[in-house]
Amino acid sequence: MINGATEEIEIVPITVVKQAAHDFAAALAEAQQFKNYEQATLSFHLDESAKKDMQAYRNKQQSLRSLMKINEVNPADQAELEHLHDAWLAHDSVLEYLEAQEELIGFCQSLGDLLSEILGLDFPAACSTSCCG
Amino acid sequence: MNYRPILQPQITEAALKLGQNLTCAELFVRFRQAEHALNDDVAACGLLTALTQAQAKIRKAQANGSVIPEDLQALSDLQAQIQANPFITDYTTCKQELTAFLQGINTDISQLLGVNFAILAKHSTCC
Repeated sequence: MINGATEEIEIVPITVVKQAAHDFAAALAEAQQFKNYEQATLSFHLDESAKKDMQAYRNKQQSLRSLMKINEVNPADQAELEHLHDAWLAHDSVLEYLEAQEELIGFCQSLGDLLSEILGLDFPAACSTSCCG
Repeated sequence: MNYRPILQPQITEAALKLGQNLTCAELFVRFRQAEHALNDDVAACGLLTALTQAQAKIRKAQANGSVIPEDLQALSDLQAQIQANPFITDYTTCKQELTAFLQGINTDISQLLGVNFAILAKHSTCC
């Protein structure tokens, strides 16, 4: 028990907190949004044609990266990049994966919001490393 | 598209339980106590306000190319006072410890799921 200035709080052992985290993860794994995401991820990884088109798009994007930064991509390269992007997105497995990912993100954001509300701080921001340092 | 799902009872209950347990974890309670102590200390709050003002003044001067040594010295003095203030240092330490603790909890959750929960749950995109 920790004595605060205005209240006393019964401290929860770390093992109990970790069990609650485990139960939370187990419940999340059972959610339809997570199952859909896992299934869509598997389908995409089994779709060799979609992966090949994704790689072609990424290779082209990588080759143009320095020119894109200075806005100097020529129209032909730009058109090819868009064509490769469209070809990649034309696969059902890709669309299903992106939709499932979006749904999972929305689901996790709602859960993160709930945790943040209880804690009185931004839980996802507090426990993730920012890419901005 | 902003997808805002209705949370099912089972996951809501698990999230509530996790949140409530986290708020009663020792590091969380200590962080809140340090935060209250800092907010209640007029001198510490004054130092932090003065630091914000000094930093803003220097940023403005840097933009104008008119930084003077006296302002830099004043900022340095303030930083030294802040580093010596027990309320501020305690708050900073508790916050770092809480962050490490929460990162560990997120790691536990993420390892079970195979995806980083905090990254998915974060609203803002990078920079």
